Amino acid sequence: MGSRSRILLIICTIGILVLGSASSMRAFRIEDMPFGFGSEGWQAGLGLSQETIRSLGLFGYEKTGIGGYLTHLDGNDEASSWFGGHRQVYMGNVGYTLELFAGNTRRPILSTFMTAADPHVGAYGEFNRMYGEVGHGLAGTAQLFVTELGEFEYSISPYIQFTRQGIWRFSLSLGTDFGLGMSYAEPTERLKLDIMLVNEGVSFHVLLSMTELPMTLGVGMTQDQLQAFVRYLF
Amino acid sequence: MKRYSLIYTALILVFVLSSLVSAMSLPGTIQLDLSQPPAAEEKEKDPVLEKYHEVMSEISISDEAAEVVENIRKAVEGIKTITMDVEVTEIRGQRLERVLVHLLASVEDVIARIEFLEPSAMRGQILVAEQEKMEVRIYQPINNQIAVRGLEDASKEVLSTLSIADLNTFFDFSEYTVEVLDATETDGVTAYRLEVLTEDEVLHVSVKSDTWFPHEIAVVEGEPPGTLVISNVVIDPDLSSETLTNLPKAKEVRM
Repeated sequence: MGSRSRILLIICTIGILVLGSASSMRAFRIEDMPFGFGSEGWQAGLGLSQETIRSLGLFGYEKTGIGGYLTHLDGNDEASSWFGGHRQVYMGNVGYTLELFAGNTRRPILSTFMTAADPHVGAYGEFNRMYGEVGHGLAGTAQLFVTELGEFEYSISPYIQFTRQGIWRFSLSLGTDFGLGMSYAEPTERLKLDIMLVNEGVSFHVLLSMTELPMTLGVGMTQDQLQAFVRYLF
Repeated sequence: MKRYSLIYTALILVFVLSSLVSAMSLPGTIQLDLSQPPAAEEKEKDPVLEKYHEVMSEISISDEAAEVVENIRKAVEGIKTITMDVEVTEIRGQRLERVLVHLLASVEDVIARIEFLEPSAMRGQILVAEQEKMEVRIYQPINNQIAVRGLEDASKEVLSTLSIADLNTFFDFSEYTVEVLDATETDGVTAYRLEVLTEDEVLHVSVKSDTWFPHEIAVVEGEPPGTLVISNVVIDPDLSSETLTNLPKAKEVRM
């Protein structure tokens, strides 16, 4: 076999090995204790998330996991909870997310801030396409409330995204509610913020992950409630 | 995605193999002195002698090719750092697939950096392979994260394969049957097109006498057919390991 044939063989071998590395897997489990103050008073609870990362070739990977929390409101027997399972796939500049969830709080903003809602099951999906520093995507949420009325809510959010000292995302929310949104994640994702204008109501949420301490601090503000959170990770 | 993996690995090979140039010597080409055939045989015109001259003429072509091949080897030899644009075009069935990357490499530090420019599905991705750290770091714009992958699993076998394989250099064509297809001179610079015959493919290698650095390698017979066009080659630019490994500030995710 000549050298060039061996080169081809090696290239193929590397390709197979690279693709074969898809079987490599890494799992993370994080427990945290949320403690905060919201419109319904003080609340404390327990959060849990577990995520597995699997390589998909050299330029892609898949994250699958579950996560959620259970909190108890001070002076209220009813617990607040939200749990969901998700799958994220990134392949080159294309990515998508699928998530199924259930709870009696809305899908938490920045994975932290909760808003009370009727018990429901729902699904969230997102498709994202980047072209270097600029990209666009489409996100959608559907929720079916487990009540006598069986109310149904949905939203479709087209968005554009920029990568400039972090990720900037500007979105439009269509569906049951109409709104505009902007979110930002600092490059290392230590600082995240989310601003929404929905049905003439403004909401602002900011989340700060401490570097020295296993702790996340958050403040959220809407028209009618103020939330402050400390999540201790252990 | 497999093709990007292959292209990446091919580029890495270009880098790694070129680094081996300085460490390995070129095996000597066989030179047959046939300029003075036995005088006794000149007296008679027999078929054997005619065949003999025919072979001799072919060898004279190979001598020219050998000179070009030697010049290519010398041009690549001793390179410490290099930057170049590489365009890979492959024909896969009815599809024409094209990848354009900017490749930066340091032979001394054994670091390769590949910045993807095309296609749009890969644009903005930056791949840094460090042999010393045995890891590949890939910046992904889609989520502004850096995927860190160890080379323990893949690269160990890759490197051992590389060491086992008797590879002189990616640009060393001296082991193969090489012929000069054409040579055209323009403004004192001769452009050569070589045909390289290997066991399972035929390559056309284009090189000019001003740099002796191949600027196009076309697979004319073999799978998949395609071309590798090298342009904007800068040899020994000032490239530090920090420059090569510098990625945008982003969260790292270890695979």
